[in-house]
Amino acid sequence: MDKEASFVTVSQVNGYLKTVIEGIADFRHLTVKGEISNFKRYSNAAYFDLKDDKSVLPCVMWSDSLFYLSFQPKDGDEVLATGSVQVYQPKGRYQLYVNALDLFGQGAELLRLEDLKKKLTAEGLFEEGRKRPIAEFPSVIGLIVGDGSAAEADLIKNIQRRWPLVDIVVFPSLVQGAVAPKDLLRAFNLSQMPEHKLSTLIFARGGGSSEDLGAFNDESLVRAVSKSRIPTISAVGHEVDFTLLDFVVDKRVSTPTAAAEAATPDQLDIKQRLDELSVSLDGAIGGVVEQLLNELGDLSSRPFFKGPETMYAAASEEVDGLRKRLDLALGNVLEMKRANLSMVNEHLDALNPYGVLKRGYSITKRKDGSIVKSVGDVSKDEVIESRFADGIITSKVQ
Amino acid sequence: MAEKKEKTFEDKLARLHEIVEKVESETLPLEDSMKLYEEGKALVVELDKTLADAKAKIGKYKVISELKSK
Repeated sequence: MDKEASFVTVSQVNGYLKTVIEGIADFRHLTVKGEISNFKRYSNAAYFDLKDDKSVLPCVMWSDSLFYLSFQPKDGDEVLATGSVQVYQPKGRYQLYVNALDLFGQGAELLRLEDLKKKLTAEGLFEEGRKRPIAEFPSVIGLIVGDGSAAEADLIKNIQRRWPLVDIVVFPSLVQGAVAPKDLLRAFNLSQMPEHKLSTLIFARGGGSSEDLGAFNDESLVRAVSKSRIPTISAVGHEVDFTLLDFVVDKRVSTPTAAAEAATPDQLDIKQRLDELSVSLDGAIGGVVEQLLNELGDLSSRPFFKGPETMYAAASEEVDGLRKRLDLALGNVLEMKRANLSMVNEHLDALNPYGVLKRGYSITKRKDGSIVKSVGDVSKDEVIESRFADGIITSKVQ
Repeated sequence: MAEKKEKTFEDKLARLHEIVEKVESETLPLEDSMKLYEEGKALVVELDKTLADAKAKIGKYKVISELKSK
């Protein structure tokens, strides 16, 4: 090489590199698996890195490709990026020009879940209108929980503390792993048997990764629960974790304790309510009695009760008058009768044989009471009685 | 199956509410109000006692992991 030709320009290097790299057939179309980081979106393109545990690969995605994305890429997403490796000559930088981006693994699972959710939503399974009220005073509560799990213990403790009148029936089930969806469905079907007389059915499981909660996203389970005979409550995972079961149950809460609260009244509240009702009842009956007393008071303050005499004064006067008239009338009648009587009496006197005696006559009777009318009626020594107007003379016949 | 169902706690509580409302309306004859009052007070005692008694009672707890009958 002569001096003239002893160097090349930067552009020549980058250009050469571009030719070599882009000449590799495998780089023209390839799919790379990696995790997104430093995702930045601009109006015409998105720039991000794909990385694994050792390396980083810069990526570019033009807006026309971004338009077809089925999800919003963000840092941490596991993806499969399809495109070509090319060199950006001005910077001497090779990059993956991405045409298509798909979520991978858990991300893909989430996407599948989104699709399932959309489908079930469209079918109306998650509609608010389908939600039934949870029994306020349950008699039997069913629990679908991991056998011996913390969720089970928590539920039983809190249910019994709040509403000891309730019976609890536990339907143990696997709550994670490949078999869990089937086992949950089996437990659910058991709970539907009328013999258990459930008022409320609770699904509960403590928190876990989203893979752990996957069983509660099972389509068959969600469809079955949508037809539950019994109002259902879910308490699966934590506040932030939503499963499809949460959308289909009648009530969703975030913890087993909250499920116990949603499923039962608090006996302390009920006791307080009883006290209040008792007080209300006392007050009400007091009101009734008081009202009656007031009425009574009104009545007793009326003139009749205040001074009863005033009420019958008039009547009394009238009676008095009548009595006087009656007295008078009676007096007159008596007077008349009396006058009459004395007149009759005088007549009688005139007829009275004893009246004649007053004029000097006398009547003589024998001992046997017979009147002596002739001298022949008596014999010698016989004792006779002569009655005069003013007395009797006893004499002996000679 | 004409067996008469025993009234539940809920039924009794509802009846108590009804009684309080009726007595509060103050439209009933005194005798009726007094009768309702007696009934209401008895219900309060009964419901209170139900709760108090339940304290000692431990809810039935069954484990059913298999279909017992097919």
